[in-house]
Amino acid sequence: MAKKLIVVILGLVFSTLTFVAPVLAVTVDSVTMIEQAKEYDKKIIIYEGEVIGDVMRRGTFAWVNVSDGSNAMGIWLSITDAAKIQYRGGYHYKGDTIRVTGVFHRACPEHGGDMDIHGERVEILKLGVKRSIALDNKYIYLSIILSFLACIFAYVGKKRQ
Amino acid sequence: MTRTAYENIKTIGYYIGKIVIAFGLLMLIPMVTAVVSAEWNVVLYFLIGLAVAVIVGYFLIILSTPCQKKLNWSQGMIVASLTWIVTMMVGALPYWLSGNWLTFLDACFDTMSGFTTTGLTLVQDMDHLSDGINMWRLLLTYLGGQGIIVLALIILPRTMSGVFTLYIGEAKDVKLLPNVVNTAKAIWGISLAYLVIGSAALMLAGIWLGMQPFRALLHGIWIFMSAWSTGGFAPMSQSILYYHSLLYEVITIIIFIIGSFNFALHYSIWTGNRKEIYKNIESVSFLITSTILIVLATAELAKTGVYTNAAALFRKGYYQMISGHTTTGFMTIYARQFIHEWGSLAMIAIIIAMLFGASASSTAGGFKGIRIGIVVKSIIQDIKRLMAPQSAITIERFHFIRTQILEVDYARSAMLIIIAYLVLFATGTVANVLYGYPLLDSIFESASVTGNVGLSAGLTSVSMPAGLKILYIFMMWIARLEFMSVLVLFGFILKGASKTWQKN
Repeated sequence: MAKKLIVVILGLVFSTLTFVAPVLAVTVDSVTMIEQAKEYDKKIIIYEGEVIGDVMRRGTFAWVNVSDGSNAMGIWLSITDAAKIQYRGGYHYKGDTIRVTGVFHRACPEHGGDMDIHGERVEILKLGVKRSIALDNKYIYLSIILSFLACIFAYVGKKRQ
Repeated sequence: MTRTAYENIKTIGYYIGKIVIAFGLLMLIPMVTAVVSAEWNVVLYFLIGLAVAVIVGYFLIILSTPCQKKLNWSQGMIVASLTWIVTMMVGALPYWLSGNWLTFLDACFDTMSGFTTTGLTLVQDMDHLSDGINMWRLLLTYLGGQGIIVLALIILPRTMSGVFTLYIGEAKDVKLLPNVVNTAKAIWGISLAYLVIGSAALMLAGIWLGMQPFRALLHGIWIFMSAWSTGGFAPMSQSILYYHSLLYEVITIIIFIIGSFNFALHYSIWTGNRKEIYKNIESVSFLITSTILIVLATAELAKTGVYTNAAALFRKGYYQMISGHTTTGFMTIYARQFIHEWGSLAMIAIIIAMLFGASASSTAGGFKGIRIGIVVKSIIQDIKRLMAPQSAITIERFHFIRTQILEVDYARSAMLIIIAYLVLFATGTVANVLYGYPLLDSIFESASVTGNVGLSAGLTSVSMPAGLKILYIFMMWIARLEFMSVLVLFGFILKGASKTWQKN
């Protein structure tokens, strides 16, 4: 009976911590994380930013790099969480803006000393979009004019030689 | 202006014009990349850049024709040093037009940083850069590593005479083959062969890491070009940390260590003389200095307790140290971690590593292993001489491709260049401090610029003063060319100015 009670109490404490911890966690930006790494080491933090580059799968987990505009931070996620990501930032796309709640590591022992965040909860704050990059007319005209001039210079230069 | 000075300028102009055209044609490579990646505006930036290169190049040729086509020593030196400035400005155009660099000065900074294989950057929003611009950044690094003029010698060999001076002026003094053009071809042959092997290895690693094949291919080519050239530019803002992979780190370490070898050593090994690597003064010097410095840095990092297990300690310590010593500049930590977490001794070790650099006539910067080896051996010779009887003659030898007797002239010229590097390093440090940066950050950044390394303590940023950006451009340029050709250029300018002054 006593054993059952202990298990129930522990279960309650664990589940409370699981739900309460993210609430207690503070939002930290990348500059603060890097500058005050010791202070936040192994603590649960909240980090927000844009997913950039690739989602790199490693077994049942994946690496995702998330930039808050100052630095990009590596996030270690389950593939279930990684699958929520639809757009990854690059030249053609603005990536999804996500909020990650997880444990920050100043020098992660599991990942060769990388500064990283082991994400426990991921929310998509804003879906990414395809960037509309229209052809700029001024560059079209400029390239035509300069190409024409280049041909003239090349012709005269060749003749002079 | 005297007739001779006028003729000199015409010959210099003619050669710079030729090289600028050859350089401009290289923009076709990022242009094709941009087409494949459907980056149409980027295609236009490179078309504009190419057109400007052709206009500038032919404009100089038209102004300079007819001229004496055989280069003399000082003309060759001036062409070598000035070419880097003119191509920097032309090469910066696509950067500037892309809008990822706030000012033309920032764009010039990054072009010079690429050319000199330094790897410090002022780019904005790097993680959204187009493939075309990234290809140009890394191509410039690859090109700079082998030498702009070395490439021009292959593209334009029939129209250039007296070209050996140009080759020397670019701080490449090794002659692999009797003919300098064939030497240039051999250098590029070696580099291209490694490009195929290294890019394939990195591409396969990228696919294994979960990247899409096309991105894995591009990243493979880019990272190879940067690693081989001991450059340090990377397509993503986190440098090599982006990949979170031991495999990627190991492959890049192999590439940048091989890239930091003297081309003469490469050629020797390629032609069957494999024992050369064990005897060569530069490889021996590199092995000794890197071992001592890595032990120092690792001991300090262990003391600070940041890395709690041996694997992490070694992985972070070794990577940063070898990256610094080979003057590559790839990082697997954030710039500010050096300042906050590395401890004084580890910082001193990495600063020394950056200043020492790797091999002469390689893609690397710094004092160079051969000079350190020669200076150490000459000190040993002096000690032996002091201890020996007065009548005894002490002879010290060193091995570089062949065994040679260490003469006083070798030691003196090695020492002179090392002193020049130290003066440059001190200048950079003082300037940083005068601009208000902390001393340790200033020393670290100055060592990185002097050694053409690219590791940063966070000082190099878009917000740094314009004066410091210009000074860094100058430092990267003069350090990469190892002083001589730039000093000849200044001598030429001063001579011209003093004659004009006297006339008036």
